[in-house]
Amino acid sequence: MSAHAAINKAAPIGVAQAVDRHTRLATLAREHFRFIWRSLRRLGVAEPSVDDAAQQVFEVASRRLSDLEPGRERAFLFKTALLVATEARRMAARARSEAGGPELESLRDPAPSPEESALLGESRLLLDRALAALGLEERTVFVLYEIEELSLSEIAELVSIPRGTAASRLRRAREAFHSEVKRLRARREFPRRSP
Amino acid sequence: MTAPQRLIEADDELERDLIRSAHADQPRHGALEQMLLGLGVELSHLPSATASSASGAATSGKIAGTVLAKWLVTGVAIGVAAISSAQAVGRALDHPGARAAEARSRVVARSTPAAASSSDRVSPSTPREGGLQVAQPFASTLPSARPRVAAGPAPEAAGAPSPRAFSSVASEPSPSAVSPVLPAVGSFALEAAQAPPTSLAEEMRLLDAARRVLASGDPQSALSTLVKYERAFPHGALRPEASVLKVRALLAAGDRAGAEALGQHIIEQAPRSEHADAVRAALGPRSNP
Repeated sequence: MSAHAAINKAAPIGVAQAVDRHTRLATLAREHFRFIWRSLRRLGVAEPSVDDAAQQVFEVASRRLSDLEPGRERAFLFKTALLVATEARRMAARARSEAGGPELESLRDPAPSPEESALLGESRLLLDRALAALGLEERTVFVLYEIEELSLSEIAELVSIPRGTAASRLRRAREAFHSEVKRLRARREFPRRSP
Repeated sequence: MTAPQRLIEADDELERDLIRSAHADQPRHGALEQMLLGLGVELSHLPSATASSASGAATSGKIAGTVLAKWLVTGVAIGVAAISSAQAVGRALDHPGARAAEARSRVVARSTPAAASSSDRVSPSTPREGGLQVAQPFASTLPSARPRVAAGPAPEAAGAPSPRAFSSVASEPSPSAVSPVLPAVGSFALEAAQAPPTSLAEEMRLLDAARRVLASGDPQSALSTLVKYERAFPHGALRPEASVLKVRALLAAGDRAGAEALGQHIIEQAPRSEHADAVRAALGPRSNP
């Protein structure tokens, strides 16, 4: 059997199965896209990159549809979003580092461009700067609790950690957030941008 | 243990404002539809026309019409049946959908004047150039689909459909591709094109490359690429997909015994999974006692 013949024999997929995949993915996206998009944004993906990052999350989901347990889809998507956000931040940090920026500072969220600053408004810029002061684990719990307004039990389930761990991470996150807001308030100006 | 009071309900006005400001940060209208097109999902599969917004839905309808026309023009009558079926399934699956968090978020947003109607302020209202595109059947032919920015290898030729028709049917390499590094999964827009690929991107690039050479009749190259994938990603997120692809490559290379051994392993691991179904389809009746 030639290679092509073997492939063609293996290739056909039932139309119903393809339709089912499309429908399931569309349903998944409809239910979770906005949550995932917001999560990526608040986990530090730069505004212009969030659409791409969200698409990457759902691309992974489309390849793992058969592994998604009913009722666990949001957790799968969120964990994938965490991975994608981490990679996006690492790539951005590396790019900034190679461009000559300080290594440590480059691990923070990127400073907004002037255009972004004009569009975003002061509050959201301050929020981004304050969130950037949190470690990823603390930031994750903080975002889910304070912004998405999930309960600690929901967060524990979503991130696969004990509820007590979620509570302690939230406590640490709040301390860091309060501290950063206090600093921002005292300075009455944006944190100095990385060069 | 009682949950702590949320900052948005606390006394600190600045902290309340900061939290509230996040609620105005939402995807722009039409972003969901655009993403689905980028994934190759026909928009008629969206369970509800109200999925995103009125304008988004209008856009969806327009684009969906374009897609349907393409199907008809290209004589893919089976596609029409698929759309009809999908719409029926979509209707069956239709439900209020919005999660509690969404509802809560909207409530807060409504209570915040600054948040109203601001979801479009940040993002451009037109599709961005240079966004990510995952090569998919319909998206690649649609001007409204997100353009592929990265050069990576295109998935297999359209003439040799994959068992994973949804996720891997092909597109032509984009003539406008600009990045020699970032492959099929694309890039994060502002990050340097010179940055190395992410692990997920690299996983997808390798699998797409294997699928492409397999479709072109070169199973040995496909196997070689898959071995490279297995070494690089022993616990990769797409490992099951890689295994199914390897079964097909082994078959194409004439190694039926190897294909059956691996295939049986996949089936035993998750007998009711789609991957198991794909293996059964690839191996044929002999593997389906």
